Amino acid sequence: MRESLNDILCCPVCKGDLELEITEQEGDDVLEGTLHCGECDETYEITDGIPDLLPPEMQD
Amino acid sequence: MTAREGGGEKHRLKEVYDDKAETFAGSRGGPWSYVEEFCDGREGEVAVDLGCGAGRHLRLLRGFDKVLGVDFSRSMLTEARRTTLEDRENYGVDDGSEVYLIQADVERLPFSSDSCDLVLYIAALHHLPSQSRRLDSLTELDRVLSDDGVALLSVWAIKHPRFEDEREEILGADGDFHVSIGDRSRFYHIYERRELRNDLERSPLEVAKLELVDGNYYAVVSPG
Repeated sequence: MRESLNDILCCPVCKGDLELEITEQEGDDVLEGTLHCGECDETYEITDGIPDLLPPEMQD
Repeated sequence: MTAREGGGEKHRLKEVYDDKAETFAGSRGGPWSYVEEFCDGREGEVAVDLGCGAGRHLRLLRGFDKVLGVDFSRSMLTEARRTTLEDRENYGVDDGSEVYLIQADVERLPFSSDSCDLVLYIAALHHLPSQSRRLDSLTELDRVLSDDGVALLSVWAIKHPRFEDEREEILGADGDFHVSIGDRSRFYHIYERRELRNDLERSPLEVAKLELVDGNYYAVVSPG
């Protein structure tokens, strides 16, 4: 995903804003990192460029 | 069923779609012609394909600045990412459109309200195992659509020729049915026209069109 995508993303559970932390990127493609919801304190992983924004109980 | 019942059905379905053979099969289909015609000439900022699978319809959304492919199956999205990257190499990166793949649940979308100009929701709503869950998903669809946004959704219809011999059985089970595809069985809610209209009318969405084409009901909806 790219950083600019975060403008329209929100927490699937409480719909709060997400904070992006990048661990690895290639050009403007974020490959590894996390999206953290400040409101419900949930953290969502980005792996291989794909954010996992499933509700926590459905995550792999 | 109450809202969270049917979780087991959904978990089993996710396992089916995460299976490598299924991913392979999903990667080979072309776009459906009804969806292709609907998308033709449409433009805007954000387009979303809910239940995008291996990405057969993502290419139709190139008139949008951002194209978001959403699925709950990781292996489907990995396949969609591979074909998207391949497309970029084959056709050149800058046709102006950026494709993003996001693992998410159609009942709880991770998108801000009023953020999506066009949503495709093709052959996925019928996998949700209770009416309340299907209504939750339609309410989420309404929430994320922008004021002048539009969505096309489709479900399998009871009138589909494949159900000819099973129609009585399906109607007897109020539409809840397991369909065997390959060696796996998966849950579908098989809709009757009036029931789909009823569900759409109970949701906040406005229905612009509802028609039966090739065994699927297609509905064009806008936010209420």
